[in-house]
Amino acid sequence: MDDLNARFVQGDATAFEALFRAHQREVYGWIVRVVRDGTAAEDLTIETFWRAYRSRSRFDPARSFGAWLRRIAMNAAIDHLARAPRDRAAAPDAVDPVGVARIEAADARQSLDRAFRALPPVLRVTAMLALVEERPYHEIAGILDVSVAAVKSRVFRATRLLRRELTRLGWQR
Amino acid sequence: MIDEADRDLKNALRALAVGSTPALDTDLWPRMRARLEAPRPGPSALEWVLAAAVGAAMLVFPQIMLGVLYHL
Repeated sequence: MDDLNARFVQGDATAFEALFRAHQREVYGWIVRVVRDGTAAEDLTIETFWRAYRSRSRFDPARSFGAWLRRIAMNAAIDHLARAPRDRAAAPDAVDPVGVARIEAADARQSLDRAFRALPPVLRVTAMLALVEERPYHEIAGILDVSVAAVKSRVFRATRLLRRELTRLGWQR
Repeated sequence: MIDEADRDLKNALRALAVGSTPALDTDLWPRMRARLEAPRPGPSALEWVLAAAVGAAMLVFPQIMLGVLYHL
């Protein structure tokens, strides 16, 4: 694999194709879990590899290509979410208690999806890495290029925002 | 990594992610190759205008070259 990485850094198109084919599904999976849109995730998968190809001279072939890609993919996802209008939950601020009582499991799932989509991009990515994938904080810090303390802060803020939004939506578990 | 009080939230998020994440069912390489082979766009009209403005300014005020060289 190191040889493949080295050839990629040197601009070998065959090596890039091999790396693309080996990682495209993994990259797509990382991105689609964050952006929650299959079409956008396909575009962002290509954007991720495009950014990787353009900055290949800065990649150390001795290191993990996948870890480097993950960092680029999460940045591409954050950029995409920052450009796109934020998904806002449509529920009113004042929750009707009768309406809350009628919320069923499917609605709870939908509420959770809306609350997740309403998170700011960096918190959305951090929540996915920390809460869903349970990546260690030091690894998340490496992916997002921030300190461990910043990751902890973001996880705290994401959790608090999710809870607040879910309460507003009348989420029941 | 998180306290017990958030365990239900975490489990629900994970169920949401697993249950609604579509798998990639197409090979994206043809689209990637098309992007790699697409001709790079040349300088835009605005960039040409800016370059011309800078060039004209240097002709009219050659002393600014010292400032430009300093910042290089």
